[in-house]
Amino acid sequence: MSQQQAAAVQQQPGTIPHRTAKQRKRRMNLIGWCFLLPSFIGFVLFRFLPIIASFLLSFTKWNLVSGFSGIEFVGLSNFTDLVTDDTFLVSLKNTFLYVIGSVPAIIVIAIVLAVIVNNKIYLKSLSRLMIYMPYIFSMVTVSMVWLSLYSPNYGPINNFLRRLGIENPPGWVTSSKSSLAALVIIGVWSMVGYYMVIFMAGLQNIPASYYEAAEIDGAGSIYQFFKITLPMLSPTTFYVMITCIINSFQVFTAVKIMTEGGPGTSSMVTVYYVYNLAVKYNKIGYACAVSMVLFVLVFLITIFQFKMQKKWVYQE
Amino acid sequence: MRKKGLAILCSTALLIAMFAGCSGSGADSAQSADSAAPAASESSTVLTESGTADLEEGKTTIVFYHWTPVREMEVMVKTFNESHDDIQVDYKPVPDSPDAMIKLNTMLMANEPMDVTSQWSTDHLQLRVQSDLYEPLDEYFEKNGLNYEEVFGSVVGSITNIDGKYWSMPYAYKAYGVIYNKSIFDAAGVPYPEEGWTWDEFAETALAVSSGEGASRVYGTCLIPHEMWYVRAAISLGLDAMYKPDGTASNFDDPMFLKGLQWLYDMQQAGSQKPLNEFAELQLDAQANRVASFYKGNFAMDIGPTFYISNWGMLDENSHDFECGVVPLPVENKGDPLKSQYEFSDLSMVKTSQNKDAAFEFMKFYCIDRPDVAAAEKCMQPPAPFPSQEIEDICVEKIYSATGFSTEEMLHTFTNTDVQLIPNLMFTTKSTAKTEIVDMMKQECNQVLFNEQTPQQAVENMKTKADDLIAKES
Repeated sequence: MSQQQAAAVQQQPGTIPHRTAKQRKRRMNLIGWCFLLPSFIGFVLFRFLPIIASFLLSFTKWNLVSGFSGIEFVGLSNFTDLVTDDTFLVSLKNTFLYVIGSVPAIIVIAIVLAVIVNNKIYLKSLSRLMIYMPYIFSMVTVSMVWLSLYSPNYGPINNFLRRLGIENPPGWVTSSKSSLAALVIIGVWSMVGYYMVIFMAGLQNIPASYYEAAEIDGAGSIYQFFKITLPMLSPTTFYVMITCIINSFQVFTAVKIMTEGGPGTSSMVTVYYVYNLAVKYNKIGYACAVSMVLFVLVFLITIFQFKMQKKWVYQE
Repeated sequence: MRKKGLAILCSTALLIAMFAGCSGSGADSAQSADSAAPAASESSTVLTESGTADLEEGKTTIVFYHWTPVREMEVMVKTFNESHDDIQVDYKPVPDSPDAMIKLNTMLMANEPMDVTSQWSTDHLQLRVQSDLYEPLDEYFEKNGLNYEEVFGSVVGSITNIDGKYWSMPYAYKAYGVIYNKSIFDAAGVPYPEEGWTWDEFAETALAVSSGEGASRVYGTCLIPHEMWYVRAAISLGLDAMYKPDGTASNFDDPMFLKGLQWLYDMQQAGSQKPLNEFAELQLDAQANRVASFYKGNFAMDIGPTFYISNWGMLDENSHDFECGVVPLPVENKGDPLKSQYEFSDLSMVKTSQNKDAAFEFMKFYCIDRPDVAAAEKCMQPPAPFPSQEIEDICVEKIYSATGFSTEEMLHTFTNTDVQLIPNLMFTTKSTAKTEIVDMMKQECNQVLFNEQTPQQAVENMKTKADDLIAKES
């Protein structure tokens, strides 16, 4: 058999399907990319490029009004200034306090609520709806309502506390001692419903057979919760923790509406400080430097969480 | 294959839409900037939320950006367009929100077609002048045979003159007086305040007319603390009160600042000034809400300009059945000359305007020639002399007449030439770190009125922090 004949034999029944599969795969990839492209371009234009631009601008001194010709390269001076910027340091401290105060509370309450509404309770759907509702409301509206609730002299919260016998209830947003706590409470209240729904989805994935076996072995509900529910929910908890921490680092609306970072700088958080620098003071370069520091911090914390997940996240 | 085609089609459409949305309007800008060829229409001027709807062909169009609601501009635009054969104004309102200046700054920077605009403060004016966004007005004043300071006075001139040139012209000003609810005074048996009274008497009167307890307490006054604590200092110290004369340090160590803050704090402690921690719930930080509270009879005395009376006081929601009085601001000591704080709103010409002479003609119309359809429509005071008796009469009717108030008293308080007008603390010729300083002042003042620090501590903090900010900025 000549070489030409051999090649023709090889090309026929065996090789044609192979080339078709390759073509099909390439075509499918192309279709996939086409569907992805608008979103990808959106991401590049409105997320990735602004991050790069922020990074570059963080080495400059620039006010928006002076136009691009007004951009002045200042090297690392924005970053060195941050070290001695009291407001920035306070804002960073407050942001961490906010995260520490809100994230554990949100996770614990969301898990507990998810377990409760996942069981057979009265008015189950209504309960879920009511817990989820704060998440739907506009934070601006919510903040205005909470301002009334927090009113130190005639607000319902302090009236209630006075009836309980507390003579000097907190000043809430009008006091340096309680303004951050007031914001944490609103943050927890508004986000718990959302994370509860995520935990409920996680609960649905736990096989009922585990609980049945535990019951046969005589395990009580609390034991089951700690030994089955929590470990089995750990991948969901990990996801919730990552997103919740990132969201908490970005707290802004309630601060803007309710405290403007005050009294003093008691509720000044980093994102609000960035807003002030960029929008009010026209210090775009410096604001970008603060943003980059926040970005790096959140990034490092997220990486740390991913590293640590092997120790506590249960993978089936 | 069909899926692939659909995907490519959708992606292409989205891409085109995205780039169309993001692309600059180079061609449009050029066309619009040369606003001598506007959209065609022959009907009379109609204002919409997005701008003047009907513009005539062949007329030079002046694009005017401002935050005033459309209803307060309608008469002015109509009058201007009807009285000018070759020029017309295209009014484009910017929403009156806290970020209005950011929007305007961004538009200016992006060379958005614009001929005339305005600013909230001297900081914005200075920033825009430094950024080469505005056109100096001297040449146009000269061309029109006008002398800036003869028309507007030296007080305004000292603020709008930067590096020897005038960059804006005022269209309205605000002098301040004390507005009081006579029925509360009558009920308390307290005599009405009289011209030449002192700030201490203001505090005594506020306490004397306060009554009731709890949420329904009627307070003597309800001043916005962070805007009013420095009024005494500003009036006493004059222009650039917050800076030392050479601008290298702040002036908060001047005793007048402590005096003003202590005065306000003492009134709150005495129960005659509504406590600051009750402001948030009722949103009294918004002037309109606070003024509405005055017309509901919730407090007896307010410090404010004419539009609190003839504009906001005439709104349906602020209808009231009690009589009110107006008296000039108090003085430091008996026999001192009368003084009032003074603020103004101004127009500037945009550097990229393609029709500068026409733009100036419009500015002159708005600021000098026709206050009856400009400042008076907002019930604010015209800064230039009235061009005619007829226009003066219309202005008096619009600005100084209101239900429950005496026009004579209003004219006496707000137009009295014996009252020396001193620029508000925020109207400065220096602007080093000013926005940061003003924010810091507000926080320090609030902490005093939240009982977290004493007035003495607050002014000391202000001095330290402001000096630090000025040094960093310098």
